[in-house]
Amino acid sequence: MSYELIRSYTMDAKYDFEKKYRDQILRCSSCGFCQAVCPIFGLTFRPALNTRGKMLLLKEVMGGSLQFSKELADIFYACTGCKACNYTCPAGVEGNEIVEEVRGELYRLGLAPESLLGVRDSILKQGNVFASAQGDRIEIYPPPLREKAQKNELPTNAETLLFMGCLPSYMDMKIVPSLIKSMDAAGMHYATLGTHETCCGFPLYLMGSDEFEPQAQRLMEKIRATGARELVTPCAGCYKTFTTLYPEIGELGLEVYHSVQYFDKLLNEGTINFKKEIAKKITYHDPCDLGRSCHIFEEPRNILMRIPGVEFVEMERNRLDARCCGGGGGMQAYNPEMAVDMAALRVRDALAVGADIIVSGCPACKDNLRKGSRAIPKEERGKIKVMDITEIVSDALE
Amino acid sequence: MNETSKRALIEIVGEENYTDSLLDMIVYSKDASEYKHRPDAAVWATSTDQVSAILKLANKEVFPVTARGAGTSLSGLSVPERGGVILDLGRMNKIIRISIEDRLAVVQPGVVYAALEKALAPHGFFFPPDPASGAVSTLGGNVACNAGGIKGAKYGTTKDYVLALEVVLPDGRVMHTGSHCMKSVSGYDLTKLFVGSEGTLGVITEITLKINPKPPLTLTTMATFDDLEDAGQAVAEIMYSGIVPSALEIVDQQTLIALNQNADLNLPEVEAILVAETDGYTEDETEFQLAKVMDIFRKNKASTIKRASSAEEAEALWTARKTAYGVMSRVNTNLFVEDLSVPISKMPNILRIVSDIAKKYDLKIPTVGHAGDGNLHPTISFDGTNPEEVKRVEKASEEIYDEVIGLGGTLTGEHGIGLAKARFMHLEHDEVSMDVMRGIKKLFDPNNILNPGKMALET
Repeated sequence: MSYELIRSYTMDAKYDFEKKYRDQILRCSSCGFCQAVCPIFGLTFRPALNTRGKMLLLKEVMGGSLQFSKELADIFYACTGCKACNYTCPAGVEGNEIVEEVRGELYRLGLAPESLLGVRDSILKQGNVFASAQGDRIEIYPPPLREKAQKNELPTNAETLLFMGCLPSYMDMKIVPSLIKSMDAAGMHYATLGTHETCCGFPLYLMGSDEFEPQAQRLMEKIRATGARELVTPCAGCYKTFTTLYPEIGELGLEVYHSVQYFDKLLNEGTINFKKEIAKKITYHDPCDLGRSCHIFEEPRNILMRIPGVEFVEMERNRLDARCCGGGGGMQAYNPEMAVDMAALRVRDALAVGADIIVSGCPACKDNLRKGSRAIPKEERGKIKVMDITEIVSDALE
Repeated sequence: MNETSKRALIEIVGEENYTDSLLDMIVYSKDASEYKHRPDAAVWATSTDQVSAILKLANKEVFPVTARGAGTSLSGLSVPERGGVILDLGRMNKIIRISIEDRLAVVQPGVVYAALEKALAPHGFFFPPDPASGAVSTLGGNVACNAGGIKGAKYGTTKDYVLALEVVLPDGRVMHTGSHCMKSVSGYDLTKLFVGSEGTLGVITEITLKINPKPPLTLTTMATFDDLEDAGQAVAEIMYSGIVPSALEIVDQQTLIALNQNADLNLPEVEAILVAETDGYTEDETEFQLAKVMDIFRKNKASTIKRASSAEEAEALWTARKTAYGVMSRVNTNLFVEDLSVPISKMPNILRIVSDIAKKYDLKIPTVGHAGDGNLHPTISFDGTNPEEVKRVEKASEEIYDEVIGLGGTLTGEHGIGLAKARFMHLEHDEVSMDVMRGIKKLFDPNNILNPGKMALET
């Protein structure tokens, strides 16, 4: 009979993940509740890919009967870091954090996927995830600001620092101009890091790279040097990194706001007011990095509901229960096809409630949801649009 | 399993629906029970034809096939005890038809319980069994294991709702049992034979379920009892009072102590808490039933009685019952969720006995359960790395089974026999019924390819 209860976990922990999470991993009773919310399982129906499966594999690794391998790495990099499993686990197993820690081990053993190592090299060499030239980072700035940045004439004493993030700087046509337009409308005095802005390091952290800390240190130094009192970023990943990962490493020395928080604050203070009517049905997609990670749920909804003409509709799965769009955790680089399939499911959630526009507060979500939307046949997706919150704010301020 | 068989499986399901990778095999070796055994391969079937071809092959080559839904069994039902192939039905997850006019739903086995709930809700209908794992468990698994849940006392369990099945037999033939009519006494009830057969007789590929209109109103009350016998008496009286609550649950003192120690819930550490819910279509109707329950609580010396006046308050009254599993699973590395049933009047006796056995073996065995139908879940949380403690857990379980049977109870109310209770089958079933069960198994599955090693069907 296979009645196997006595395990050999009493030996000394061999790996770092084990030292930190052994008790949690053993506590996983394999109830399988995580399966109901895991976006990767929802697509593949492969039990090895959900958190229960990952915990079973780690138990074998800890017991000495399974070695780290490329195949094992494939399983641990198949995770969007959406954290849904953390919230559904009756035993309180932090699946997301355990996966992150195990990726560190895999990275040290040289088992991180090539596609992610390419991203690492871009960050270390070019300072951004896209291997683009550092000078191009300000191409998206409106001309007057760009000129100032090129001539090194950006204000040096501004209290507010705008941190754009890689995706808005290089890949998105609208987020940066919309953010700047709205800040101008609010009459704010702000600075940017211009061509000195670099990747916050979040992708390095997600792949388990030890380069995260030095990358973060370098950027932290630059940000501190501005002397700004507050930082505003439209990027959910940068926000999560600054507020939850940087404090483990050092002091940023300023208040960090995501744009949804900042606009909500400006609206509450009466610094900005929406004038233009937008007669659309709008839903909000909670990015995992803002929602389940940082519990920012109400600010974006408050903003949208204040826009004249907007009919706000909630998707069935929202807030803590929001469906991950598939764009996080390095999935867009590691397995882009799967990322898009997940996004299509989220767009269908929005179509199901009749939304004209899906608004998010995360450039990666926006990018991935747009791809997901295009993967749905035109007759089904109709004219549904995906926008960032900065865009809708800027439109409503006109 | 030989290489030729593996290649033949790939022929049937395609490369993308086949795996024999070590990592998948490790994960398929387990369900939510404490048992494990690795299969040799796993396939994701996507049609009845594929299931038929797979079984035909397995029957010819004689390798075991273990069907699997979400793998949430607490008794090892989906652990491939003899290796062979795991037949994962998760991708057969279409709701084929919902017919409100005919009061039924036709589904594939991989549909998750909650997905059907969601699809029925707009019609004001539901599929009542409500297993605790309903957010993730599949209907195929629910039927194969005859899943029950919190609404058992009023609404019964899965078996009360299965009208018809499409089943693939071990020789590959496809059989259609039952009827889509609400009433049918045509021939042997082959449908019921398959409900709860734990995947040992055939593989279910389509299910027709009777569905119920869902009463829109519910009311909730909770009472504490300083004396367990009073709580037991209250349960018995409620169940013969003429009304049937939609839920009547018990939480024992050991659970309350464990919850307080591990979750800081500040619960009263009384001998028992009862939580009851009544449902109905009108306020009067629902209220009438609740008043009756509360009267009986009062009459039986409940020390406190609370009544929820909002959904939030109702949720609060359920806290002790609903957090028990989560909290218990955090306490230690291993968890046994027992699943015994006794005649309703014997509930206080068995709770006392479990508590005495816990003391005898120096274990903590908190118990929660479906008081309304006498189905209790003593939950043993223990350290699996300590061999001596594991021995005590095994001894205690064995003693509990003996006592349950002595009280006229049953080994399992809703979790199934599987591996966990196979060796205790003889306690409950006489030689004649074991003989008949083995005969049925032989009739359907002469080569013993389907989920072998379960339910003590091998002689």
